[in-house]
Amino acid sequence: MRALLLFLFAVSLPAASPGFAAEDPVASSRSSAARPDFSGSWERDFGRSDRWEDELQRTLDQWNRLADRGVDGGGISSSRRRAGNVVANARLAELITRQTTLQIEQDAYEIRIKRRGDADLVCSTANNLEDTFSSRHGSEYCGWDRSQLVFEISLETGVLITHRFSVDATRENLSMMTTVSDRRSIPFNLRQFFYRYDAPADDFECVQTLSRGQVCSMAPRVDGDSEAPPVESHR
Amino acid sequence: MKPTALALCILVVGCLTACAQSRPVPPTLPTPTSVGQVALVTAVSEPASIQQLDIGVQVFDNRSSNQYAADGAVSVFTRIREIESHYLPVLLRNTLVESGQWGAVRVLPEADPSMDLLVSGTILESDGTRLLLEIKVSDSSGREWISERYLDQADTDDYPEYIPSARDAAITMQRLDTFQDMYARIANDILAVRESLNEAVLLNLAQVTSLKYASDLSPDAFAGYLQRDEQGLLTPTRLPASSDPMLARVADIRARHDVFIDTLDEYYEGLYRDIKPTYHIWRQYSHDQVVEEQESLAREGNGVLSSSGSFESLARNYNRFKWAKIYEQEFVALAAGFVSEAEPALLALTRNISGLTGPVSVQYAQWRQLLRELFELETGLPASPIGEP
Repeated sequence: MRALLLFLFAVSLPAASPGFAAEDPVASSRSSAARPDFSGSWERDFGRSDRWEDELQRTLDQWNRLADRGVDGGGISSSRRRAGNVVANARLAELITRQTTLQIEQDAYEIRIKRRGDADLVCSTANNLEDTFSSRHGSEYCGWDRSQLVFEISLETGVLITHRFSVDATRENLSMMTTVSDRRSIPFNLRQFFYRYDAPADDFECVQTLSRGQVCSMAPRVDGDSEAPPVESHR
Repeated sequence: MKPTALALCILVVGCLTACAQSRPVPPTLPTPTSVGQVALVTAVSEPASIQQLDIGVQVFDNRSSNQYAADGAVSVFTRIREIESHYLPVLLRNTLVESGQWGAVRVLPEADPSMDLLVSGTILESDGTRLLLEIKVSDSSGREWISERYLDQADTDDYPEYIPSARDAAITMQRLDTFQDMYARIANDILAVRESLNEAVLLNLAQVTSLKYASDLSPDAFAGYLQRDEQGLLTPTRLPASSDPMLARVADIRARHDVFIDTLDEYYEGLYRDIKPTYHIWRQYSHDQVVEEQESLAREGNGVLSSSGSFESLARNYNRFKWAKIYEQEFVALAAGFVSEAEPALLALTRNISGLTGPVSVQYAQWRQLLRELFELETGLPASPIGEP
């Protein structure tokens, strides 16, 4: 059953959001089928990123134009209700994308996106879809849509959150398109841009243990100095 | 039907078939009731020599239904099951030794023909709250003593109030295992079967074991001494003379074999001692995680969430999802911590014994083959290759 859901997710993924790649200038500048390298430290580019209030207004305007032309198909009260849901979805999108920095680790098998105040987004670099987390509160799937990394979170209440990551060919710019939608309203899209920065090297190398917490030792220095003895710390 | 729709249908049907094949549905077997509190039956006086059967406890098989292991997505939990498959048999071995009812009790990587009784086990479930094992015990004649599932459950009182750290290792080493009642129940059940057998059967069993080991070394010389009766059990057809020089050579080889498996057993004991303090901590974290999950479910009223569509409602629902995920990620990190601490002890099992190399199971096979060849050299009789009875 799970595999069937994954299959249907695979079929629906490009169909559900056909415009993202075309709308995303960073993504459109890429054409490689290989996994791009997302690793590094990223800081939000406020100048290029969407302001959620502006995006909300733009979405509402678009919705009103559709409603005026009768595309909505519902009455005035239905339109207002749907507009209310868009506002809630927009605020949720803003809430879950407040991080101003991202730390991304990537190796041959896995990519891990660390966000302050939220759970890591983790996905395999293999060419398959996988359910990365499932609980009674919702489930999360991830996969690759060409060179874009996509996470789809289905909350138990029917809200669907999608994060779509792409990085440009220079590996200097990263974009994250977040979409919040539910069956009662049109999707709300919020696009954030990030630029790479050089985070200071960590002075410690740590190994997680169970009985002693994180055991850290001084990271070896570039000049080849011998490694300092391990020290115990709870970082 | 349009071609694309048809193709989609074929794909879906194909997926359904493939899914059914790739994930076989396990048979639904009844889960036993918990063993409860069990007092180990210990020997008041030394049992008669005929009752002191040698027991081999094989490294457990692992067919855990743990969701992480089943998914295969998070290999760290699969690794923990591997560690447990070596660790838990030592707990059963120690319980059997503590009972004082038996001869030598050794943990072994494979079934061994020199043992009167062989215990094999499969880990079906294992976390901080439940341990479900499938245990099979049979004697050298092929008689099945036990084939049962054992379940033990732990509650908060079974754990210390605070999760111990490395500094508490000395105290932790003294603590009984959380599921000690289960091992006591298994030991008592094995004892109950032995008590039901008369002296003649036990004497017969000792003879079968000796001849079976000899036959394993050299089928040509000893296979004729054993046959299967109408119940399919091995029984001696005749006995070699006590002065038979071939028997003396077998005894000599068996003594070397015993030394080897004693060394193996010490390695398993070393793994047990190295891992025990950390394993206790892991079990306690695992228990706390399950309890936290249950309490969270109870707090939220069976998971019925509001879906009014307001921002507050959306944010609340997202936060529940987020914290459940953060909690699981922290749990996975703790599991990885346990594995990284236990890994050296598991690696120690690959230490070379008597010049042999490779994993312990490979060294065991190599040793048995060496003994067969040695026997062949000494007697001039052809030895059977390993794996052939």
